[in-house]
Amino acid sequence: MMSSMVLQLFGLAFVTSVLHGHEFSTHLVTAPDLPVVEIGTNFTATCVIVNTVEATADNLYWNLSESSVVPEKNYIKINESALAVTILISGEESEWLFCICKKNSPYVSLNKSKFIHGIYLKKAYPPRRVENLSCVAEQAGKMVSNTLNCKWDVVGGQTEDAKTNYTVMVQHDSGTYRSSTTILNTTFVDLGLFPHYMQLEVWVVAHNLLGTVESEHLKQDANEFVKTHPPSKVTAIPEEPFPNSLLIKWQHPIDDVRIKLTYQIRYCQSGSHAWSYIPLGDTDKVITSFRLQNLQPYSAYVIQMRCRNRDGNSGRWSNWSANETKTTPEDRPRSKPDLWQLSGGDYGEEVQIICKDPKHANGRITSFGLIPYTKNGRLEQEIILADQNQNSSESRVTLLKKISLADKQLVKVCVNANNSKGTSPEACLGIPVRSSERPTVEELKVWTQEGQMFVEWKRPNNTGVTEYVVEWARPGKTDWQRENKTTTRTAIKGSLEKFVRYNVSVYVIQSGRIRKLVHREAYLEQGAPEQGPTINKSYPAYDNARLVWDEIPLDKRRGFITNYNISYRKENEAPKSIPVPANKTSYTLTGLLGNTKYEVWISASTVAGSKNSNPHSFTTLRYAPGTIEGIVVGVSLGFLFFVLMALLLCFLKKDVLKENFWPQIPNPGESTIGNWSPDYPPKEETPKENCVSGVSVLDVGVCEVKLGFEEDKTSLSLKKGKYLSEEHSSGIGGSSCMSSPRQSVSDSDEGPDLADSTASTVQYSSVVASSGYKGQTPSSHSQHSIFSRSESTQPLLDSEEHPDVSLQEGCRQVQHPPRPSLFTGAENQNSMESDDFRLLGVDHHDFCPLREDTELTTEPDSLSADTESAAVSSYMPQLGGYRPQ
Amino acid sequence: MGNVMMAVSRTKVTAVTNLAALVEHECTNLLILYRKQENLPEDMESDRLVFISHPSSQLDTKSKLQSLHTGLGKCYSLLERAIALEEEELDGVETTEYKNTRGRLKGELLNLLKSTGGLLKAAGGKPIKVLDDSEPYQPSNLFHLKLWVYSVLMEVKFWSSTAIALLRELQAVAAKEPPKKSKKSTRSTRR
Repeated sequence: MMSSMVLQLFGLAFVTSVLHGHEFSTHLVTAPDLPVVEIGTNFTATCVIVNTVEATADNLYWNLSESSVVPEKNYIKINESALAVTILISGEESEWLFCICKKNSPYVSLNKSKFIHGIYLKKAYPPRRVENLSCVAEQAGKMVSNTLNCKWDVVGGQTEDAKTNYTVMVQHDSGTYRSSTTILNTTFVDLGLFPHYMQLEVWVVAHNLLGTVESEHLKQDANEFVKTHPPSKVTAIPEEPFPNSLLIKWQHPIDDVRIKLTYQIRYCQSGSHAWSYIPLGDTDKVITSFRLQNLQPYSAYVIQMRCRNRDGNSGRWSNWSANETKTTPEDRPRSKPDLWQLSGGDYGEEVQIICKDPKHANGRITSFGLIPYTKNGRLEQEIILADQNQNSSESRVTLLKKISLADKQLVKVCVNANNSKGTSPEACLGIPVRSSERPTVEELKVWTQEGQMFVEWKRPNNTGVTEYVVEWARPGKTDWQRENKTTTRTAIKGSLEKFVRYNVSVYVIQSGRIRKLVHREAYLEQGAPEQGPTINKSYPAYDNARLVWDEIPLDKRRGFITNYNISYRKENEAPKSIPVPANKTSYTLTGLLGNTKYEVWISASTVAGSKNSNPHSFTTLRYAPGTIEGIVVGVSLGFLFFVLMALLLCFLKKDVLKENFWPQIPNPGESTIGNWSPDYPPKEETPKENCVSGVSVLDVGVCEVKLGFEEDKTSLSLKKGKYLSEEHSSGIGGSSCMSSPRQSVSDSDEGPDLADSTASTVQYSSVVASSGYKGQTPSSHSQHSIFSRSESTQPLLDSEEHPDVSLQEGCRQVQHPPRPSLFTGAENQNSMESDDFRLLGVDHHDFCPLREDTELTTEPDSLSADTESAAVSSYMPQLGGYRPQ
Repeated sequence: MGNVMMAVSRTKVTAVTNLAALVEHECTNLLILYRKQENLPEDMESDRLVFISHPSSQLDTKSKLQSLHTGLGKCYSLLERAIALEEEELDGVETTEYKNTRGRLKGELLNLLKSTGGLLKAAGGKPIKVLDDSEPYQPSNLFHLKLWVYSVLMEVKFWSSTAIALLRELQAVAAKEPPKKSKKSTRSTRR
């Protein structure tokens, strides 16, 4: 360090002498002025005061980038006019190192720019050796490319102001080549001509302002840098006499004179990705064919090849060639068919003999030969053709024969398989005595792990086990595998599907006899049900409802149902849920409200999830059971009670009733009308002479006349009953007249006010003494004498004051508003009178009911004529009716 | 010869042999193209242009390699001259394929020359400089030039074939020698 400082001082002395010779504007000079400083090292600079005595070294200080003062402990005072500083170069950003005078004299203050000097510190990392250099020259057409592509791993950092550049160098006996310079980690070198069989030396030169460094030199034969195309036209050829081999042929991807290649072959059975590799030593010759051996007959194989430079071990492998798939020739079946039996028939009264193709079928199995054996020996062989629609494989199951157990003739069957090349060894199976047997061992564990189903069972106590058969069945498909006698735990090797229920059974074969150990249902993986249960019926009652649902179909369950959950709710209310065990298919919801609509749904759950049914609605009943019956019985009893009471009342009051309903009718023969004179006090006569012969009494207020009286007799007759029952009322005090069109007038036109004042006895009557009874010719003109009587204190109407007018107007004048309330006291009497009329055989349409509006709107003259004619026709029946009396 | 193989690895000899074969292959292709281009018969005789003694079996390895190396050097000089004359006199007549093949042959012949020089150096000989101090050929007419170029190519083929034969002889002799024990193993045995 001291030597460097001495050198700096010499330099500064030189600079100072130069400055003395020139008029230079600064009084501080710094050194050294390096192009770059290395990051992580100490840097020492010196500042010298020149051409002034205004300042000394004690007045100097050092700043980094004008702001950060370098601590004084880093200063070294060389003499009175020179101050050195040592700093650690850190950070990647370039910066200034300033030497500044801090003296506060007027001269210094006025010449500040002369008392500052700096060094620009351009920082850099030292270049480092690159690592993992690798180069490759790829095949281009039938030649190798003249370009050598290289890449490497950069070591060390880079700074913006002093980047490291890299150059790849390639050298061989005939020349040296270099790449263009790059700051990246990859580049290429143009070799002009690829130097086959020449020893190449390749390295990378890393260079920056701090220096140059070379990487490790790669020394290899040039061909080891070559990456050719994969072997071309790779072809596998099956040869009929060799069912276990395939002949592979290919072509060199590049002329062998340029690069001698070694090849690598790999193959696998189609569908498998477990490649088998041919040892490199077998293919490192100049060959263009190879025979793959020890292959399975009648199996498809996929073959791939690649190549690289034969000499040396560091050549670049080409890519793998495209798949070449070929099938080996057929051979005769080398193993037995896998023979098994299934229970058949509705009651297990038969067994089905089934088999799978031999494991080493070595070709397409075309038929099976089945040889049945009885107690007496072998029967003739039966040939069963294999289903050629299916691909011949281990998983194909062929039904060979159905055997009835009732016959008990066959004891054994033996089966062989045939293909185009020959016949397999025989497999034999003993026929069971009974198709279905109760399992003898209860313990069977079935579980799944990592996508496989495992089965574990207990070895039966008795000995003589030949082998076990593990069978798994789903609807429509059964498969099995055989395990040796020492096995008690295995994984099912067949392809199982998720969410499908399998019935797993374990059979033991003992001396050719099959015995079922145990079976269990299992899933490879459970899922949520695909559909919910179906609510097929609900039986709502008043405060409960019974739900019945169907189980989810087996293929939709996708797992074991753990439980059901019934949810129900009223409208706009939160649902309630009730768990129900999985073995139930009906449930009664209780605590419901009557006459309420409920929505209900059921979810079925497995361990993996649940699924809801479609919502179902029902409405509870309005009444609880017995309510309606109670009401009916109550009403019936009440009605019965009422009837009884009515009967009792009738019985007790029969005299009153008789008097009301069947009053004493006065005998006309005893009538004193002949002696009746106006002088007679009417009140005394009235009770005895309600109705007299030849006198018509028209009740007031109930008689209505309809407009068009004559034209509408029919309608009149239809209303007859009404008139009779409701609108006829008798006159007062038994005054009545039945044969005159103007016999009686009881007018109530006065209205309600009048009614109030005559609530009890406002009655008008006209008693007409008519000769009608004698001459039967009632006419307005033939009426000679009219006797009118009134009990009312009201003034008489015009009709009464002017009898002539009344007589002409006839029935029109006999009009009353239908106000029965005004005559409540006389109503019963009216009805009684109606009955009286009936008893007397009087047709009621003899009366002329008048309607109030008709009266108001009809012209008096025309109406008078109408009324007159009506009166004539209406009196005819009366005459007849009274004749017998 | 065994000494040579001790100094130079078998791999190196094999590589030079393969390179000689490549040169011969390239030269054969070029002759085919040249005959086709110049309508020359296949069995046309050529003049000898390299007057170097053939590495006969009586010579030692070093002398053989020296002879071979010198002959190849002459061939290279002739080929360079031939290319220069062709480019001068027949520029635009040759096909691209011919030019490319000719360029590869020149480069590969140079590589072969350098490689045999390495073998010669290993055998104690002194490789020659690729400088032909003889007077450069000047054809009197174009026909003579074409015949001369044909003769050059035939010389290159001859000497490349000679190289293959000599180097294979070296390989065969080396194969008969017992494998050389490494120093390390020798030391460990002594210990």
